[in-house]
Amino acid sequence: MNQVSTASGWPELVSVALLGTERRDPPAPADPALAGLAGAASGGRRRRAEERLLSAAGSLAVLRRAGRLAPPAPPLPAPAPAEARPACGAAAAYRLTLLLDDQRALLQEWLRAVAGRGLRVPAERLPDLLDAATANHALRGDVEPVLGERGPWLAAQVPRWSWAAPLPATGDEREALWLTGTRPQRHRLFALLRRTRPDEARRLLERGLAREEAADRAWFIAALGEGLAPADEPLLETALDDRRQEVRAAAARLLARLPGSAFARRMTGRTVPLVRVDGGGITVALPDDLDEAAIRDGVLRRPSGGTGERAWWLHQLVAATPLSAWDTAGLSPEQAATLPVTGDLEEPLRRGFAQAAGTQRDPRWATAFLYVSPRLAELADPRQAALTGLEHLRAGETGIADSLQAPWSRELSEGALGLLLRLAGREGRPAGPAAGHWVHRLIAERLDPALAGEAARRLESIEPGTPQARQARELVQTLYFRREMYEELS
Amino acid sequence: MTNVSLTAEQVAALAPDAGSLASGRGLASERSWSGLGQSGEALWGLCQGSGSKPYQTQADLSGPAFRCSCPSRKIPCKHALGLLLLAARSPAATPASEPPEWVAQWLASRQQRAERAPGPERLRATADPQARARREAQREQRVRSGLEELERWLHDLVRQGFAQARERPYRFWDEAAQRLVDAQAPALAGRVQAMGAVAAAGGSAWAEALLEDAGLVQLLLAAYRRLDDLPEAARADVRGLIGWTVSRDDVLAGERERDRWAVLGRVVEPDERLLVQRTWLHGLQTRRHALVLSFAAAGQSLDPGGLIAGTVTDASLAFYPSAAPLRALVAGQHAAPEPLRAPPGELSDGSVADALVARAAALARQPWLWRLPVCLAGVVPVPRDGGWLAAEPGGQAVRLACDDLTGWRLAALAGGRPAGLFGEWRREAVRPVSMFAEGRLVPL
Repeated sequence: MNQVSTASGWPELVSVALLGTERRDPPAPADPALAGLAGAASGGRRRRAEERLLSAAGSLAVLRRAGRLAPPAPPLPAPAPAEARPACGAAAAYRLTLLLDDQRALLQEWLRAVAGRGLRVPAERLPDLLDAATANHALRGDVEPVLGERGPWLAAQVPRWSWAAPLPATGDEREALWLTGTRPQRHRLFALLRRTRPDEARRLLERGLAREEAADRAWFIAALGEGLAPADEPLLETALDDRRQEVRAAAARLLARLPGSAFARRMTGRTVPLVRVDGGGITVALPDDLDEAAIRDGVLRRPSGGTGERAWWLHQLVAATPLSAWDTAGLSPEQAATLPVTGDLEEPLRRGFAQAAGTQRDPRWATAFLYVSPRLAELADPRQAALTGLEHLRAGETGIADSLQAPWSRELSEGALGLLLRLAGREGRPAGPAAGHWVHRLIAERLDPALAGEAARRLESIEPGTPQARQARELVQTLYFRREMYEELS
Repeated sequence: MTNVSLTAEQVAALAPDAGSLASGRGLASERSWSGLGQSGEALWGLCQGSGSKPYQTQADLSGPAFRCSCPSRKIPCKHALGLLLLAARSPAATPASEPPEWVAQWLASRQQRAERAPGPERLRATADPQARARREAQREQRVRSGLEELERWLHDLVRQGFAQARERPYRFWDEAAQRLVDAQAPALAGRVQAMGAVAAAGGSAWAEALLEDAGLVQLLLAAYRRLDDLPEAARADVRGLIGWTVSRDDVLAGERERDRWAVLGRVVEPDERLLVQRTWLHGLQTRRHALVLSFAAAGQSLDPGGLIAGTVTDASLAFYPSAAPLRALVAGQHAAPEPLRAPPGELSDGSVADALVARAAALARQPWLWRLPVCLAGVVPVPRDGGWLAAEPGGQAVRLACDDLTGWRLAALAGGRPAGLFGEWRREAVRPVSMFAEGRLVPL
C-alpha cells in the first residue's frame, strides 16, 4: 500500500522509537534528499539522536501521508432493483425520525398511511426502520410494504434483517437457501413462498418435515395458514400424528379452517350433535369422555387454570369445529351469541365460538362475538365494531376500542370526543376507569385527526392549570401531530 | 420573490437543543399563530404564549437571524423554530405581505448594523499600541520557553522509547498539554493531547501513528525556530498551529472570495469544555473547499451562522491566512440560501486517486494539515473486514471511519450504485459527513 515506508527506512525508525534511543541509535536517512531536508530543518546545528530521529520521522510522516495509495476496490454487490414506488417527501421522512426517536406508539399508524398511499420510506431511513422492526416483531407486517426494493436488497446483506430479505429469483436458489440457510433465513423463505407460491412451499415441507426441530415444525405448520388451501390437508393430517403437542395443535387449528377436510367432518360429527336449539334456548349435552380419535384431533384431556374437565372439552370441541357446520345445522351466529344457554355451560360454549371466529377469521361470527372477545374487532364488521366499541368505552371498557386501528371512524371518534368532554366536565374529578390517563392516550392516538381542530376548541373550556387541562393539551398536541402526519403524505 | 426554502430537517439542524426542537414542533401549527406573513427574506408571526400578550417572532432568512419577544435566551427560541417548521410544512400559512412595523424596524436595524460593523482600522486605533507590543513580546517569550520545554519532553519520550510511554497514565500527556496551555500555545497543546489518545488507543499501528505525530511536532518546532525565514503564508500557518489566533477583523480585512457556496455538511464535536462545529463549504465556481468554525461552551447552543447543509448561498468568504487556505469567515451573504441541486460531479474532487493527489498537493503547501475535506464523485459503500470501504466500481477504495449503522445508511442510499460522498480525512480513512444520492444531499 505504501512504497515510501519500505524505501525510506521507516520501519527501522519505528522500532528505534519503540525501544528508545538510549538503547539503540537511529539509522541514517536512507534517502539523501531526506537527509538534506532534515539537515535544513535543524538549521545546521549539531543534533542529538532524539532530534535526528524525530526530524527524519516528521519528514517521512509528510511523505507517507502525501504519498498514500489506495488499494483496488473489492468486488461490489449487485445494484438494487429500480424502485417502483415513489419515496415519501422530506417532511414525512423527518417525521419518521421523530416517530422512531420518541413517538413509537404512532409508528404503526404512520407506516400504514405510507403503505396505503403507495409510498415507500427514503433509502437513508431504512437501516433504522429495519432495526426497529428487528427489535419489535409486531411492526414487521407494517414495515415490509414500505421498504420498497431497496429494503429487501439491504436486508439480504445483513443477517439480523433476514426477516425482510427478498425471495431468491430462481427455484434452484430457493432450494439451496432452504437446505443451507440459517433458521431466520429459512423461516423468511417459507413465509414469502407461501404468499406467492404456496405449493412450492408445501412441497419443501413435505419432503422433510420430520427432520425439522420441534419448534420449527410448529412454526412451519402454523405458517401454512398463509395461502391455506385444500391441497394442504394431507400434510396437516400427517402433522396430527406429530410427537409434539404444539405441532398437533397448530395443524388442528388450520384443519378447522378447511370446511371440506376430513378433520372438519370429524369435528362436525363430534360436536354439532352436542348442541341443540329448542324452545328459544340452547341446550348442551356434555361429552362423557374423549375417544382416541378426538385426542388425535388435538383435543386436550387436561384443562388448565381451574376449568372443569368436561367444560374444557366442550370449549375445545366448539373452537375446532368449522363455523359453517353451525349454519348448516340451523344455528346462526346471532342466535349462538344471544340465545340463553341452559345449565352453567354458557361460558365454555361462547368462548369456544369466539375462539373459532378468531382462528377461522369469520367476520359474521366475529361481529356477533365481539362482546366475548374484544380482539375480534379487527375481523368484525367495522360499523358494528365501532358502535359496540363506543358503548363499551362509555361503560369504561377499552378493549374493543383498543383493537380498532387508528384512525377511528368518524362516528366512533365523535362519540369518544363527546365522552371525553363529559368526563372533563365533572368538576375536574372524573370517575371510573375510563377517566384515566390511559383513555386519554388511547383517544389521542386513535381519534380521527380531522377532529383535531374541533377537539382543541371544545377542550378549551377546561379550567386552565388543572391536571385535566394538561391532559387535554397533550391530547390536542398528539392530534395535531397526527393530522400533520397525514397532511404531509397527501 | 423567493419563498422560504428551509425543509423541516434543515430547521431541526438549527435547533439549539432537542428540548427546543420538541417545543417548536408543538408550536408548528396554524392554531398557535396569528398575523403570519413573509416577505421573501423575512418571516414573522404572533405566537400566543402563556402571557396575555402574544410574542412577536421573526426570522431573517438571509442570516438566518432570529428575534422573538419571548424571555428565552436560546437562539433560535422554540417560537422561531415553530414558525420555521410551520412555514416548511405549509408555505401557504405564511402569505407574502408587507412586513408590519415591528418587523420592518428590526430588518432596518440589522441592515444598519451590517453597514456599521467596525473595520480593523477603528479597532486598532482604540488599543494602546505600546501596551499591545509589550503584551506581544511577553507572549513570544512565554511561548519560546514553553516550546523549549516541550522539545525536552519530546526527546525524553523517544529516548526512553514509546513502549514505556504507552504505560504512562493520561496525566503524563495531560500535564504536558497543560504546560503548553500555560505557555499560551493552546493549539499545540491539543496535538500533544491527541498523541496521548493515539498511545492509549492501541491497535496494530499505534506506534507508527505516534511516531508520525511526534515527528510532525518536531518539524513544527524546527519551523518555529526559523519563523523569520519563512514566507508570510507559512509563517501564519506555523503561528496558528502553535496557538496564535488571527483576529476576526484582520481576517475580514483580507481578500474575499465571492461564490455560490454549497454547504456540504456540518460536524459537531466536543473539544475539552467546548463544542466545536465545523461547517464545510464548496464553491460552485471556484471549486474551493472552505471551513467555517464556530464554538460554544458546553450546554450552550451553536450559532448556525446561516449555513445549512444541503443549501447553496451566494456569499463572500474571507479566508484565514495560510499556505493552503481553508478556514474562512462568512463576510457577507448576498441572498437567502437555496436548496442545493448540483450533481455530484460539479462538487467533487473526482476519483479516489484524484482526491489523494489533491490531498498531497495541500500537504505540500501545509504539511501539518490533518482535518482535510474530501468529496468523492462516485463510490459504493461496502462492508469489509468488520469495517467499511468506499469503493469505485473497477477502481480504488478508501476506508470509511464510521459505525456500522452509518455504514448501512450509506449503503442504503447508494443502493449499490456509485454515489457522491463528502467527508473528512481521518488519517487514512474518510469520516463520512454527507452523501449525494437520488439528486439530493443527505446529511449523516
